[in-house]
Amino acid sequence: MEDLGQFLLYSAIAVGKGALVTIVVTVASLLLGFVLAVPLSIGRTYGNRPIQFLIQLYEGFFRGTPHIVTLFIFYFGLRHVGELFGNPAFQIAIPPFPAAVLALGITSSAYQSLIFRSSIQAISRDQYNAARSLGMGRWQAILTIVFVQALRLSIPGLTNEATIVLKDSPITYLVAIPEMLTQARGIIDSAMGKVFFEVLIPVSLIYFGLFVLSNKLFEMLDEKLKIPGFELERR
Amino acid sequence: MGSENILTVKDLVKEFGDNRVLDKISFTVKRGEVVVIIGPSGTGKSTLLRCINSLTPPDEGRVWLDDREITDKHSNINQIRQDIGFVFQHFALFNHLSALGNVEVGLYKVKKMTREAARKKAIEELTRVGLQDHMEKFPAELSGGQQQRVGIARSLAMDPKIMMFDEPTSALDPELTGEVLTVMKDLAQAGMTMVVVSHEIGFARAVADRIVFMEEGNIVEDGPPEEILKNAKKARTREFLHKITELYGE
Amino acid sequence: MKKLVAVVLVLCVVSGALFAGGAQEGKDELVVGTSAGFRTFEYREMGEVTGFDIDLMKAIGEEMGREIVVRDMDFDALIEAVSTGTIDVVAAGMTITDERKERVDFTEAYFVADQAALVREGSDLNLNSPSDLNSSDLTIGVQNDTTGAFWVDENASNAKIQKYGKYIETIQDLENRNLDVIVLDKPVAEAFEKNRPTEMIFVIPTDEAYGLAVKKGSPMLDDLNSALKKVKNSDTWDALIKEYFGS
Repeated sequence: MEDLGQFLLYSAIAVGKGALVTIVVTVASLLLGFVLAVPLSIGRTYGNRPIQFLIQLYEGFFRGTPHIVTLFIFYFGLRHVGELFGNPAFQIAIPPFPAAVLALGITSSAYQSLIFRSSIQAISRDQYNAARSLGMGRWQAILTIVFVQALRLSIPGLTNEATIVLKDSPITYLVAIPEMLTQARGIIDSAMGKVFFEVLIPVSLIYFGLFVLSNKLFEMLDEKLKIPGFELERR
Repeated sequence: MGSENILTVKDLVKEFGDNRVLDKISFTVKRGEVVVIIGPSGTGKSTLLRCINSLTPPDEGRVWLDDREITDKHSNINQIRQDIGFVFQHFALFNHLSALGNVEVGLYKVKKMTREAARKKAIEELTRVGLQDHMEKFPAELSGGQQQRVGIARSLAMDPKIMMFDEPTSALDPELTGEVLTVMKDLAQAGMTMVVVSHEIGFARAVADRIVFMEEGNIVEDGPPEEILKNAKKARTREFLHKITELYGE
Repeated sequence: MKKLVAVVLVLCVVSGALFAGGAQEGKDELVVGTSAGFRTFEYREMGEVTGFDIDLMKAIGEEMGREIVVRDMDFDALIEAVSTGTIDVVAAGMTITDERKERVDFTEAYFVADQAALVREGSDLNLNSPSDLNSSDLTIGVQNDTTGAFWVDENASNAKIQKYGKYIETIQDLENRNLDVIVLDKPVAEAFEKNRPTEMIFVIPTDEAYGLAVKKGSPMLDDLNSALKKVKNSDTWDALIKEYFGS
């Protein structure tokens, strides 16, 4: 290679851009998952039969379907949705970034809902009863007393979920998202295959670094929200 | 409904599956009265309390606080509950809030007081139960007796018309029951209407205006402490008291 | 707790903004599908896709008064993508063939190329002409859905044929000795020959022409063709050819 320095610089820039895309896709998907999982978990625990059933279907579908398939449905599949009603011209055309975030985010919401639900159930019923006996309404008690505590209990589960979404993010290359793995392949390509592990190993290390960073952030969050002396409701 | 009856319970029925836990229970509580309910475990004493403020809605029967019917579907149950203090056997303190936080939360979230006013009142109530030095502590950092006193302060802060205690000392180590019973005695002497489910015969003897003996979902006997404790009319009452004084000394 | 809620909300808003930015597939944008990894025509540099096809499309876009947006995907996903409207046009060194014409419409040809056979430097396979490839002792690598793949399917069916998503994967396997020979477009073979221990042993004259592909019946075809014509007749074209192909 004529200029090793230049190659390294260009590669670093490429991988850097890819890492940024990976981070944004991961964070956006986790957030979407979170925002959806809160009502889903509450609805599934406290809602009436029809609501519980619907949420169960939703969770089952997105937990049971391979994430790549979900991704395809949102990006490619929805463009064919008109054919179902005999109107092929009708398409739901979602561009790559929203499609990726929707697919990963909605899938994550199904898993996060499960995490929140089990945390909610770990909170003793008397917490809710005590809140109601003070005169709090049903939803006030659920949200401000039960769910708040459930969130804190959910932090380990969420730490794990963040890792899973991060490791899922490379599949978005299939819908033209230039995330880190795509960039790595691009570099290998540009170097005519002269480098391979020299690229993949640093990239793996960066994924690992992101994993460590994510864990650290959740650890800090856990520390900040810690309730003195309290682990899990013992009763 | 005579205006001196603050609590009226009529024909309350509650079944769990085949088990008829409350079998047409009726009684009344006068303003300022302290009623202690005793009886074997599992006879529905706790269920009775929870049915009164509808934490566990009864299957049949009606309950009035003053002239407001709690069991009426159209009543604002949340509002009525503000006037009924409930102290739980296992304290049920909000784990994510400090002692102070526990006492203030009802004040600013339910009574809609300002945060400053809520805090001020909360401090007053905690001082009243002797916990002014522990206000910033979280439930897990407090002893059982301290937690229960916070629970009492939390309910008292809402200025209820009646306080209900569900076996308040049963989950406490013996040396800690004293601090809670003292608070309860002071409360009774200050004129609070109280319904207490408890094994603490000493407390009942000292403070109760009436003792109610319940067994198998029914009220067996109901009378002043001197009568029940010394001269119970029903054999079952005397049997039970005998057993209990063996267990608990006194 | 309230601070946490605030942070989450801010992150949501920011993501939403990024989201929305991507959500507008601007009416004025021309979405170009390509498959980076086809040396000199489209490849990644510093993280961006660039190459002859990309620069050509930029020039065409200018003529048409539209900005281009490039989407990098697997080659075999491109035709499906343009047929459903996921992308507007394919610029990926795609050879015009009758089979493909059944599924998409092509512009006039903008480049002519042949296929070539590529082997490891110093390998001793005694292959001298295209017909030699039709041997059951050989393992041939191709990129899936390319004219190289079609040629091999038709003309070298006795050999073991392996198909890949990207050219670079074929090179890897060639060097690992999982493949004996690769059949690919000549310009790419030449590029690999310069940079890897490989040898282009012969040309398979197929006289392929590359075209830009659009959805069947797309009204854009005429505009594309006239823009392409204008660009071909301009200095821009000469500059491009010089930049990417030397002479």
